[in-house]
Amino acid sequence: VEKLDIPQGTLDLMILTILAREPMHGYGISQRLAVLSHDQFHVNPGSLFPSLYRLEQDGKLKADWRPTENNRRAKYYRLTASGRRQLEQHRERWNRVSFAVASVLEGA
Amino acid sequence: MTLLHRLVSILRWLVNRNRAEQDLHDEVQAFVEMAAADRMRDGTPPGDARRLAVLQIGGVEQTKERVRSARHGAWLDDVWRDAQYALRMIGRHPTFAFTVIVTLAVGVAASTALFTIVHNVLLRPLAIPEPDRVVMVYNSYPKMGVEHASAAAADYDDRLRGVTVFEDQVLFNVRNPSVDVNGVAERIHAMHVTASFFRLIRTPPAEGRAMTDEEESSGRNRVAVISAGLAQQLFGGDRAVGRDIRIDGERHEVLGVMPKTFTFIDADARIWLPLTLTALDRAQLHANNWGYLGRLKPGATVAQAQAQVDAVNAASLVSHPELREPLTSAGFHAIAVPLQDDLVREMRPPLRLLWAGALFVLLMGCVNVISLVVARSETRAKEIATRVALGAGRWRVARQLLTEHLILTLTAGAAGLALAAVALRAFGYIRLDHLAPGSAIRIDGIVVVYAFVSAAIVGIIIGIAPFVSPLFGQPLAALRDDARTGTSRRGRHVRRALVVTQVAVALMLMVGAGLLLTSFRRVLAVHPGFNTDRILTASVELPQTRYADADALRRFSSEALAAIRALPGTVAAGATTSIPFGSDFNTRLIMAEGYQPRPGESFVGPYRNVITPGYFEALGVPLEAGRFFTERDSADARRVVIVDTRLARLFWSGLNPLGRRLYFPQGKDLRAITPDTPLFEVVGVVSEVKLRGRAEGAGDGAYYFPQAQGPERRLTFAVHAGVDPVSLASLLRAAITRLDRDLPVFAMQPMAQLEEQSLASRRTATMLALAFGAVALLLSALGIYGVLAYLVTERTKEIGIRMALGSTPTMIVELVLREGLLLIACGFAVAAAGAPLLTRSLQGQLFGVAMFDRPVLVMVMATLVSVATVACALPARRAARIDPIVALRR
Repeated sequence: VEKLDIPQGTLDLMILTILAREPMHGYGISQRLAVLSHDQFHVNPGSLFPSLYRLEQDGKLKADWRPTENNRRAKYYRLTASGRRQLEQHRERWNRVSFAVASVLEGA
Repeated sequence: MTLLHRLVSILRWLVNRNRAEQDLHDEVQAFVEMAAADRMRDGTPPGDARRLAVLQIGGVEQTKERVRSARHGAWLDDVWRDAQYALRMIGRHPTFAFTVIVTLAVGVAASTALFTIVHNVLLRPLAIPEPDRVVMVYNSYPKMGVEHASAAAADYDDRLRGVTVFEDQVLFNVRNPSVDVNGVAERIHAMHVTASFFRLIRTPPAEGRAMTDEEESSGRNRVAVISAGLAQQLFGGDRAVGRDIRIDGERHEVLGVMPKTFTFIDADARIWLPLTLTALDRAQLHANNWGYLGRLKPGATVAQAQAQVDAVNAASLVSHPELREPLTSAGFHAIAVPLQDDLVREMRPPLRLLWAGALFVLLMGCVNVISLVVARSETRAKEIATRVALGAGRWRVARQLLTEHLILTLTAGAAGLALAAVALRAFGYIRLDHLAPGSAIRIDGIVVVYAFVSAAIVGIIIGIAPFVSPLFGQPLAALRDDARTGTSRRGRHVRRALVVTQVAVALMLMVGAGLLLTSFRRVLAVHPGFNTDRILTASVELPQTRYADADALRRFSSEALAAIRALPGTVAAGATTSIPFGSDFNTRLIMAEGYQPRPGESFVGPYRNVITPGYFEALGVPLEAGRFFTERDSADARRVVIVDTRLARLFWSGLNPLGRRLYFPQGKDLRAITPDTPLFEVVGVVSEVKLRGRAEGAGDGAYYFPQAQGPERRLTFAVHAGVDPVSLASLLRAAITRLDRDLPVFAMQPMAQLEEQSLASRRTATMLALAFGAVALLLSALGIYGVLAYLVTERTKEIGIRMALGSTPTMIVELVLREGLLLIACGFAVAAAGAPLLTRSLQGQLFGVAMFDRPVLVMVMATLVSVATVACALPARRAARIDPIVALRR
């Protein structure tokens, strides 16, 4: 089955959502995204890391190196307060957008 | 908040670059490891798992690169890395870098130095509000050889009534009164101005007030406005307004102090005094003793002012019909010019010429560097292709190259600026300041910006040039999708056209320099009519207050001369009103008894000089007939005059001038002699003296009166010393101070120095032109070399085939030389087409040499051809040594 492209602008929202549950490293985020999207979205690190770095630079995320459960070292990202606020705003906006789009599609 | 975060993170990242890079690397590696581990759990063998993981994420380096370029402040990172890489590349090719920097530094230095002068002299506006509305008005008598005479006081009253487009009109002149500065008499530049001056300059004194119109009248004119510098010198920090200063021994009340930075027309002026006109001043038409300024009303034009001044002059002619004939034959008219233009009138053409020359030098350097860069980018094609293959974007590579070139050119800019500063200082020693009277030549912010902006523009041109490939072949073919080898025909033509232009420009610059040099040598070869060696000059101006009458003046001049002649080392001494190569000259119409002016002949306006006995002897002016003045030509003796050979020829061509008489015409009829008309008997004829400098053209000659028979206040002593004249200076000053403690001696300098000053601007222009010519020659030789070297590389295969088919090395050399000489010939042809341009710019700069002086042309062309031939010879030799077998195998 053909994988879906991640819609423009939603990667940040999904990253923030995933990290809202618990801090996670890049690989974990990409795996979680695949699982949660029922294998529809596969993000590769060439797209994932730039988003993570930008969010970190904007103060939405904080990162630190920690050991993983398999005793490797990985950089774990977690939401900051500002990241949480952004997540709420974006989710709320996304809900309105998707509701609006759905309404149009049903009404047509 | 977000912005602050970004800034902090950019900063942190800049500071901790290595850490951040390591982090990024570790993180991507961790990702790969975890992906591989997951695959291994699914049963993939470890080696494959890792490889597949890397493949899946699309490459470790590529991922890192995407992160880097997505990061905020990524451009900074890029600039930094580009700069580092550029420095490495530059370091790897130091010869290339050196050549580029030196070539461009010379160009930047030349254009910056000239810009500094142009900026300070031509572009910097006068430091008064709305300076463009201030107009200078001259009386001009072109057929008499006087283009710009100042104005007469009589004009002032007429124009105040008749010229309505001026809102303010000013008469002024510059004097050097003696001022008591803390007990020492000093000679200080003062401007006598009508009270309207302060309205015209729109600059009130910083303290106190300006003079009023009433203070022009003779009872009330003991007032002065002084400069901030003089106020400081006289009164220290105390308030100057209301205090007295002694000017020529007279008490003057200080009305006001000008702002510290104020300077106008005469940069040395430190005192402004009211100008008091006498009834005689106001009556005498064409007694042109005053500068004339007008400030245009808003919206009025110079042309309107000119028209109104013309109308006033026309009306004056109607009321003075007796002047009609002589004025018409003198070609009299008034000239109104914007003051700003007028102050730089004489400097503008040579400066523009030199600046254009300097820009050409920069342009030529630019062309050569482009050739170099293009040639080098071919050798770099492989490196660039590799970088593109490794994932560098095309824009990224372009930016990288641009960074490299900007670093090179900005370095060249800095070097050029330093070189310009050194050059300006060096030229300062040969009195560059004379190029720009009254304005200091200094390097300011604007000049620095000019140097770096011009360097940056050159850098961008050079950086871009290789990408506009059709112009320069296809050196960066690797960067283009349609990568194909081979050189475009058009590119080759453009390169040749550039070299042809270079040769043409070099030829024109060199011809210009050659003509200026020849002119300079001709000027030097002119005998000035007197001896300039071992002459000391020194001036005094005897104030009215202590030297009230002619007797006092006479007494001073003879006592001073006696004292000077008594000094050890003095061979001969005299004094004059107009020292040659100085700045005080008078012309006055004079007539010879019985002389019948030819129809249409203009005023005769020879130089009027007043001299003491001993003057001609001191300067070594040869006596042609009769005698010099002696002490016997005293006040009560017969009135006598000495003429020079030119005036003698004019009045009495072929006849003996001795014993004939001259007179100043009094009325309407030039030939009318009344019983009251003083007559002066010619007692001697001397040879001509070039008063205004060696390059002075043939004028109407000169006549000399003895000081005793009509003493003057302002005298310049000329002392012929048997020793170094400088060693005499302090003795001379002491001798005069003994006679009058309060009399300042000024402008004391050897004649050699005066002479040097009179030559300074010509010498500077010539030296600059020579420097540009030499640089242009060098650059065009480099350009020819570049094109031919390129040609040989490009045609190696062809040359190999020719040699394989039996061409001898001589034939190959010929092939290359022919190409080179063809370029030179084309350059000459283009230069010939550009000759009118050269003619226009050199107008008025040449002396004793024709525009197309054959020796200069031959000399310059021979130099260019021989230097260019050397430039051709190197690539030709290389071509002749091509081994056909090696060439064909390429």
